[in-house]
Amino acid sequence: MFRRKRKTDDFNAEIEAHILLETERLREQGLSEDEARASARRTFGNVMHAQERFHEWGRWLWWDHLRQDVRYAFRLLRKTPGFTAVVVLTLALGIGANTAIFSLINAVALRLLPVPNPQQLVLLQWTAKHQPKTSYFARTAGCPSGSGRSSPSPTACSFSYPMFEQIRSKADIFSSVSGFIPSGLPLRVGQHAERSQGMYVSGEFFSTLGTSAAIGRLLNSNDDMSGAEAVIVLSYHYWQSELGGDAGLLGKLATINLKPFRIVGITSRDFPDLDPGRPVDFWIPLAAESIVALHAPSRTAEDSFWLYMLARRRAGVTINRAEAGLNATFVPSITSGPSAPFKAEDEPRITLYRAAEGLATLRTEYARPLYVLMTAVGLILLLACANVAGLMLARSSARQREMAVRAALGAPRLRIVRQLLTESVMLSLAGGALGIVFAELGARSMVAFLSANSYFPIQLDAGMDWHVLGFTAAVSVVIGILFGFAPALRNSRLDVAPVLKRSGSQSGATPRESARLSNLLVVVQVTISILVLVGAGLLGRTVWNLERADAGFRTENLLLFGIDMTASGLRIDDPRCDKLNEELQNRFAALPGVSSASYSIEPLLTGAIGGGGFKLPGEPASSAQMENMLDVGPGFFETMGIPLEAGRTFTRADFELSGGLEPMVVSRSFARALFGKSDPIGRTLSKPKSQTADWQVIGVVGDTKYENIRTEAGATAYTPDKYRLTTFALRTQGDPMALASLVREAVEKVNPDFLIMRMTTQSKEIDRTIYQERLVATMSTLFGLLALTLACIGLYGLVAHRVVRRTHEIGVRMALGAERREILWLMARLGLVLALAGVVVGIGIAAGVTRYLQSLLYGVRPTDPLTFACIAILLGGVAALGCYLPARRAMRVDPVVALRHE
Amino acid sequence: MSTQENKDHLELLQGTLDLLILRTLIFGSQHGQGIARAIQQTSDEELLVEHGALYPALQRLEERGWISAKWGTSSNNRKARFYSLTAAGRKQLVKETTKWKRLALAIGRILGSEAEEK
Repeated sequence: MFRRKRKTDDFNAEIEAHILLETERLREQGLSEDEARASARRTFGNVMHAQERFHEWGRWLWWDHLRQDVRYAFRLLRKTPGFTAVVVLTLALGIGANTAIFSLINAVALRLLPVPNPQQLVLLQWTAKHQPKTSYFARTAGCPSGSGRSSPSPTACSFSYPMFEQIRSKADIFSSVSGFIPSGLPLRVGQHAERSQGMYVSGEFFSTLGTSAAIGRLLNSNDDMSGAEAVIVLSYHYWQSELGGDAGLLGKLATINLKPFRIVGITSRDFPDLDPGRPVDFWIPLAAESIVALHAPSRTAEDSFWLYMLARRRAGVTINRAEAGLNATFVPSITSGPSAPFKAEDEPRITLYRAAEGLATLRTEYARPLYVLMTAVGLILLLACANVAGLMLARSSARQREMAVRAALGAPRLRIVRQLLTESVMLSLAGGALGIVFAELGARSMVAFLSANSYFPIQLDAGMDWHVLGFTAAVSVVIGILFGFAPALRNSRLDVAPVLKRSGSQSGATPRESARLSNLLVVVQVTISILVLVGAGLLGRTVWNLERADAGFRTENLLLFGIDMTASGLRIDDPRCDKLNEELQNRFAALPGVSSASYSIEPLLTGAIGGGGFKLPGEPASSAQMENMLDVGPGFFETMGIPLEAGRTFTRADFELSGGLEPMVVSRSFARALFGKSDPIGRTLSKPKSQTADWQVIGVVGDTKYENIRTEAGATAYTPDKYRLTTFALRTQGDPMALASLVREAVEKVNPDFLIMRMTTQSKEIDRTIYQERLVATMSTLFGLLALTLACIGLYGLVAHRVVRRTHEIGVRMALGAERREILWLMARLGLVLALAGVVVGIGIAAGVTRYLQSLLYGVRPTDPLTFACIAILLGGVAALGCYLPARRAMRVDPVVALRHE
Repeated sequence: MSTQENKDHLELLQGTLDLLILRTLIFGSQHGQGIARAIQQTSDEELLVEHGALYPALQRLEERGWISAKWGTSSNNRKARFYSLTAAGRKQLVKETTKWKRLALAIGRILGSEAEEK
């Protein structure tokens, strides 16, 4: 029941009425007016007391006190704008850094999909002791545990179509099961053609998620039948940003690989990224897979694993019950029969992954840098806390008199503590509010950095939501209490009389105990700065090393881009592809500013890698060695700048051979691995399972790094590239990107339907593959400088406070003949000792914990003495400055003035 | 704290004031001063209600929903806040009365037997 709180005035009026009534009664009994009134008041008792009790009864009290405290604190903080500004800014930086990182973690890992009952959604995975026997196995990102290439017990999210049909029939466990698989495809809508992110989905996909269309309709089961008209649904964002939000497109045709698809709908504006941060541009039915894919894996075969499954649990069905129910029929069905992919002793079983927050691609990808950064910002916050606590402590000793007066006037200890905590929490909330602004900017630039360095397009919304705001508010309140607690407790424990008796100049004298606390806080700050700076130093050197690492070829002035010929309807095995590649190569080589042009199936140093097994002909299959392999075009080594060491490289003629031995160029390490010290030229090699020779070595080139710049330059075999999906490499004379439009024109002249993909430069690609190191290095350098600044402010504050407090003493000493130099040392000594202690402790801790950064480091040991020494010297130097500046003021004290300073 | 001058009066036991207020209101709505007088009179002036304590008690009962209040005019034409018993208050009165009677009886027995032994 809701009742309006009774007003104090109303209560007072009632008491007034009572006294009037009582007075009247007494007068009727014959008392005089004055006597009656006095007696009425007497019998009533203490009016004020009744009023107070009413007040307290209604729990108005704490609210009143809070309002009082807030008002008072506000006035006080406004009176010392400098102090307030420093504290709020310090806290804002600390809280802002935390909020920024947290908002990213929130965006990739914590935010629920905006669909009804997201906690019912599960992604299906299987685990087994051994890999299944498969004819096709799709390993697509997004599977929470299946992304590791060599995990001890295989786990993956791809299933066969028959498995999907079986699980779809489990209506007692799932209200809906849908299959899907993402795929990048060349999509053309009107004049707009681009390789876009598509997704094949079963008819239940949208109903499983529980979303609706913005316009038109979404896909349903009827669309997912063979023979049904090919239809496509576009995402709202793709439709808006790429197609101008043209509603007239509904019902028109889009083409994928020249196959027509009717546009039937646009998803709603808030349609979730199933895989957070990785937007999908369009959806087409699974049935369309047979139309579009040019090398379709046998779609319905039992041993073709390619389909992901997203299911919605029925209300009340727990994960455990669902898993048990599924495995009861799933396990027998996949371990029996002639084409069973699993053996019973592999113990295959289905596990369900809670997909309320979506798939896990970015969660896996960014986990490491985000947690490293979260640790760094956590330390920064701790440092900011220590810093502010130091300032508060210094200030609180100046307020001892005020506190003593309050205590003397009868303020309970709790009230004083509360008053001081109110002040500190207000400061931290103000810091938090400003911090949100910093966080917004920080998170936005980090998202920009991440998406600029991502292989696939990402769109992260790291904006503020209730999670983030709640986090910030909680952090603010907690640290407000944390840094406010020490000074508050100390001040509330004051012995009143001595403080009040002290004279003005001594009013700030600090008891030993709190001096010890301030000293400790300074040591903590220096220690934390050392930790963050050492991390930043190691990562900085890592990036420096990586950027200067020798790749085995010339990485500068190389333009890279892919050409997708399937967009023009060409098939993978079309013999014309070879000729077209040659034509393109010749056109590119003839462009002004291009020294040479070539191509390969994958570019180097972009994270992509291909490999194969090699053995000497006649040896058993078990002796085959797995080595890297790359299919390249003519002139590849010349264009890339990979030195030829023996024999020759490929010529045009090598690409026109059919049948017989395939020519092969090998790297120096490859030759050594397969042929030892003997001359490799002219030797033959074969595939693991073949009995005869397949390749003949025609040349040896230098070693290059393949997968990324971190890997060792190693063994690679090169063979002629005859595929249609190639990456061109152009050696340019000037800025590679300046050639972009010329390249486009050249491609258009060969075939206007060809799509250019991912135009970039080799240096950018290298930078991209080391984005984690760069991100963490840049951020931790920023944080390190921030930490250094804060620690210095702390040190400065400590020494300055000492100087002010001891002005009188300095005056006496000087009057007695102390040298200025001695005074300087006297004042600066404590700060220097504390800084030194912090440096020693910090270096000690850093030496113990930097090994956790090991996986991010390159070319530098976690306990690199040079880095440690540099950081220690840097901090020592800055600390000395922080102590010298305020201590210098002590030197300038005029003894006469100081002694009069009473 | 109390300012009472008549030491002959009995002081109220803790918690009994609420019961007495509810009991008084069973005869109809009444204002605070009236309630105080009624308690004093019906107890033959044995009990003294400290008037100042009465109002916080009334406030408490009102917040619990046992009595309701509204401003009205007294018999001698003064503005006063009148309290009346709610249904919940009536139930509470029965409950409290039973409890109090049992308590009084039990205490009475103990005190009685003790007196006999001596």
